[in-house]
Amino acid sequence: MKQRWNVLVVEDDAGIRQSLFETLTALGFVVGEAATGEEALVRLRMVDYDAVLLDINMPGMGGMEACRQISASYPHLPIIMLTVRDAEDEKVEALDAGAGDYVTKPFHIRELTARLRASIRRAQTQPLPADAPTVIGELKLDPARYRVEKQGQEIHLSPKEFEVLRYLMQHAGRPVPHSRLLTSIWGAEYGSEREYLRVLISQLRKKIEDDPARPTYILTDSYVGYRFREA
Amino acid sequence: MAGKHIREALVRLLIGVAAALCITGVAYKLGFNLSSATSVHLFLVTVIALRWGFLEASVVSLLSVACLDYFFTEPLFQIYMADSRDWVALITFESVALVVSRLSNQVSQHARASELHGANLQKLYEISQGILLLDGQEPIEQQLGTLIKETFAVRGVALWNAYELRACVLGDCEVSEAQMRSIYLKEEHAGPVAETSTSRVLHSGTRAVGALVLCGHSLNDASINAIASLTAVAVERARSFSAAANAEAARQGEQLRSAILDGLAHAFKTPLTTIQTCSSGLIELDRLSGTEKRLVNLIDSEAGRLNDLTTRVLRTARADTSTLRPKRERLDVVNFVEETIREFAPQLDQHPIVFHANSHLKYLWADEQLLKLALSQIFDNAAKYGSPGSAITIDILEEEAEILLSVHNEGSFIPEHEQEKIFRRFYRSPGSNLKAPGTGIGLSVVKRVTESHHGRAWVSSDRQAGTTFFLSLPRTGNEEQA
Repeated sequence: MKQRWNVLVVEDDAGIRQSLFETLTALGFVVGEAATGEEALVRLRMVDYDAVLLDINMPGMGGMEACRQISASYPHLPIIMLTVRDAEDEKVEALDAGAGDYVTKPFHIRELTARLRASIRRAQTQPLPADAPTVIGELKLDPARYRVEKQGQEIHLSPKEFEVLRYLMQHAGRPVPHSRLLTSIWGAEYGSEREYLRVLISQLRKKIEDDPARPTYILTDSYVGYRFREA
Repeated sequence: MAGKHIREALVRLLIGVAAALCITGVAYKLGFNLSSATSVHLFLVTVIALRWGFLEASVVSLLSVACLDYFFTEPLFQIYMADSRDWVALITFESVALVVSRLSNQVSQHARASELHGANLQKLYEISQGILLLDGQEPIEQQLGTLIKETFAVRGVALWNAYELRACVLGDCEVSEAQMRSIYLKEEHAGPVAETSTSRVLHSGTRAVGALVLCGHSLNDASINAIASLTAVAVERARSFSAAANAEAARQGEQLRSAILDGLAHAFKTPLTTIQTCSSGLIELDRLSGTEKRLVNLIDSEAGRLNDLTTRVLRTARADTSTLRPKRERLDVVNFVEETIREFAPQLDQHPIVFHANSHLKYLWADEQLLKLALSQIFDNAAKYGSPGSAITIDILEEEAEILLSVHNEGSFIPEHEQEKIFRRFYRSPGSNLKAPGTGIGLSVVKRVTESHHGRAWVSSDRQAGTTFFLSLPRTGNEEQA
């Protein structure tokens, strides 16, 4: 049965809002609209939404502040920010403000709905225990046994490589900013040492990807960070 | 002038003679003896020497000797002396008078010279003050000329500014522009171009920056040289002022154009988002017939293209306007280049990429985002202008003090006279519009990014071999810590 998910579109431009309303409705979503962050907060109090599409540049309180307030009041509600290219700092800030993902304008509806569905699904499934094995594609990571397999073959990883892979796989489908990855693996004082990450990701790709030059597992989110492919 | 001097000297002589005769008369009446009369005369001669000069004092002293002999030595009223002691007295008087005159004359000349020197210094000081207050917006020559003419009370001033190729003649000074130019060109302080005039080449450091002619003046060489130096400083200063003003105007112009581009690109994004949401929505709904689907696909792909263009303009316009302050971090060069290639390979229109890396290389201290932007611009250029399907070759070379990134493509040729211009903002090679779309910003961004890292960007091009872009980045001390 196809579930009709409730999505709130928060966007100040009427053209974009209408086009999103029409297409998402036609694709089976129930769409609510808000033109500002303030309006969105009011609507959220009245309707149970499954996800929020939130424009980053809006008059009034603005998208970033709206994101902060929504994620504070509804911590399990997935928020997808609508950003523009070349605003990488904004993307990272939005992820830090509580957004689960972002989509760069202009976008293809297919990409947007895929992100929407993935975010909603993630929010609605119960989180697995931290040491439960994760399987994505041909890769299997078993934290309890400290073991990584690809097509049943064990892959030998260094402790840091293992930690990075585990973090990325546990956040599969979501963008992970460099700084978050660095601080969670190396510690709080390492937030800016991106070179460590770059070298480590490059080694990881050599071990887990079929063609390290065209990675399919660990994807690069330009200027923002990395994203493990969707399960 | 000379007649006036002689007349003045004669008047002074007459006054001196009259004074000597008066003193003689009074001394005789009062019955002075020879020694008292001599001392009174000596006093007179000394005063004349101090006040007027040696010539007047000597003439009066001779007259005094004659008077003393006539009125105060035996036999009286005769130019004759019976007593040899009187001879000694009068000869001593004359010698003392001459020596004292000479000395006092020298003292007064010194005093006059130092007075003049002091006055000149004062005027030079006034000029240097005036130079600081010149109006940078107005032509400098007129202002400088007036300043010199008024401060030193010369009859005329002529000034030639070699930077602006401008001449200015003030007051009464018969000198042509051609004459001034030849003074400047010969770079030697030519003799007087007219009577009572002096010319100087203006030097700033070792370079000649103009010429100065002073007409109808009574200044010594030292003062004229000082005026010339100050004038040269003023000319040089005005030039750097105007250079700074021009650079500022150019910068503001570029900033404005970039701001407009930035604004336009941003304004395009919103309707483009609506268009693409609709087109991709229609495709996704999949309810269209064959023709409709093809048309919507076309709308969608063209909207995508328009978006790529605006993104590129936006990105480069921003790097162009903001003062680039690289956020440097340690970069593994090979890794970084590989990653950039991987990211941009899909946009390189089927050009195979060949990458050679010198394996000794390790780290570079650079801003990843900026460097990636620069490198992607060069990749983009290579893909746009290279022969279709030809390889793009990327090399990393290690030089003694620099790391050299080169991107080579076949096919395009940039003539030598264009090779520097293509790095200028908004410059596009003639005919490049026919080959590929562009804004003329990309390569200027490359240049700015490398320069912000204290590096260089340049191109070499050959009709047969193709075109190679180079980025050189200095290896800093920091990389060695790696």
